Amino acid sequence: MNLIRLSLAERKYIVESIEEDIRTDGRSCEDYRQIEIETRNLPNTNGSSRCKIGKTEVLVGVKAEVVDSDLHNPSIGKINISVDCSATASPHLAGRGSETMEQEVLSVLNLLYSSIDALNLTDLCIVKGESCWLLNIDVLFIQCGGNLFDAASFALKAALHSTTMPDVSVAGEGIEMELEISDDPYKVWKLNTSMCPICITLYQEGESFAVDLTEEESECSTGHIHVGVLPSGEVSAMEKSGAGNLEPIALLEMIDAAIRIGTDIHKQLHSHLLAESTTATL
Amino acid sequence: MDIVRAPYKRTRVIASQGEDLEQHIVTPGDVITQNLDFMKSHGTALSHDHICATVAGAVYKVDKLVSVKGVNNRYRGEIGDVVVGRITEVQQKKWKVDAGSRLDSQLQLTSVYLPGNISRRKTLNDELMMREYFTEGDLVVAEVADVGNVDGMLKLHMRSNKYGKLPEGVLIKVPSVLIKRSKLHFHRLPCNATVILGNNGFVWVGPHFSPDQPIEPFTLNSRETIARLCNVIKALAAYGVQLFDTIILTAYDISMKYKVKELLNAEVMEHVAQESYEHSLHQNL
Repeated sequence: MNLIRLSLAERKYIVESIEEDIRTDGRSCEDYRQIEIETRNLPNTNGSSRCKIGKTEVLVGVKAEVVDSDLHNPSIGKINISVDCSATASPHLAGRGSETMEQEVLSVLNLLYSSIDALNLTDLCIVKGESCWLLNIDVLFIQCGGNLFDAASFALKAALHSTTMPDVSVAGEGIEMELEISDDPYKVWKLNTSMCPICITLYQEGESFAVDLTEEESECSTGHIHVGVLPSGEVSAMEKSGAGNLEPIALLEMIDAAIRIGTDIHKQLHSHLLAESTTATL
Repeated sequence: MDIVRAPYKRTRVIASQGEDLEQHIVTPGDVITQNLDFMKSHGTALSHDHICATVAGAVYKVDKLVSVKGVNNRYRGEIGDVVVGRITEVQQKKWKVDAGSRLDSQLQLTSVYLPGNISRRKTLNDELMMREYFTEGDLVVAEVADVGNVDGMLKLHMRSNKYGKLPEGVLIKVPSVLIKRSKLHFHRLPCNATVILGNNGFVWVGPHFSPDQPIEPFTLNSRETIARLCNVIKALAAYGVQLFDTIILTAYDISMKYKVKELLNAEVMEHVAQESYEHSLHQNL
């Protein structure tokens, strides 16, 4: 995914800096860069957000459409996530270069939202066994500057939080059933995002680990784990990728750190989103 | 400290110098003149009876010749420039160096000082040993020896003790226009760090070093100094302030009232850039 070539000396400096807990930009290992989040920036979607962490910038749009219910799960709605990367996001990602990265991010996001608790899908059911809402979630990377997974998960949560679903009234029954979707902008309901997880990615660097890596730093990492953290501080999902191996003790430490950092970010994200939605309605 | 926040609205740090100059700044597609007596030059194109800009930047007129000098151009290079670059390829008798210009620059084996007699002939053995000197990914500092007159490819040389491979440190990339041309581009700062301001916009920050001597081991302090310098340089560059040694030192001193990681906050960055820019204006007056 990362193709910046670093010299041995630079690698040594970056890894040693992380081990000494003072990184090349002065942060300590568990510090995030500032996370700039803005919602409702795409007017033709049901919900959208933009998240910027350092150079990384990601845009998420949620569009709802009415589809037929799934035969096996008649009482729930559906979500469909797709990840795309702008060809100008990073010089290495032009052409087909971005495909692996898109796949990786998509698999992590799908993993996070695969649990039934993540988003209450029964809310998305319109008529049981007949029709339901399908949320098309598009994640677009505008710029890549490291830590794409976390940025995507924050933006996704923010976008879902800002999503407004139109009211649907059902007229008739059986074959004559008709759905009327209201276009009144005030007759809407919001998704319950209180259980949406966020992804905290921890990268192993030398003897220690760090979060929110810049591109150069992630180049030196030997492996990373994605931890899905719920607002309550519970771990909802976990995936390891990268070539390196993890010590069991280190893994436990990493999960502890992820929970600590994740709950803090959840809290801040929640109050930020609340503040933003109240100013938007005023 | 709040990490989740709303996007920060930046303000301009560099004051525009009067209305006059403002008018000569164009974006691609802007009509520069409809008078076809003018001759078009770099950064302009003829479209529908008027001369348009093709890049964003400032308009320059020399007699009847109009050109637009882009602000975010690729580095063009001039003979004598100090550049910092990264080795991308080892080829026969030469290295390819990424120095931020359009084409990868060339560094001939013959234009490098090798151990032993400094100006000796390079043998086949030296050619086989090329990867021992510089390998892919290595950061080097060199001087532009020649600019290709057809394709603009830079030819670099290292015929001085101060040029060569760079030790542990951090590379920051800024637009090349932001590097102020001066006699000195190697700065041994009193805060116990060295900054190399490459004319190509590659800035290297690291410890003091001298050729053929191991660098001192890093301490927490020295790492912090390097991190602070990096953040300060990034802040200045983000607000379009020209970089040279005194302004970096001023900004470094101003930044002392913040923690190093606080310098990543947009407000603090702006404050540091603003104050150091104003400070440098006062000193020049």
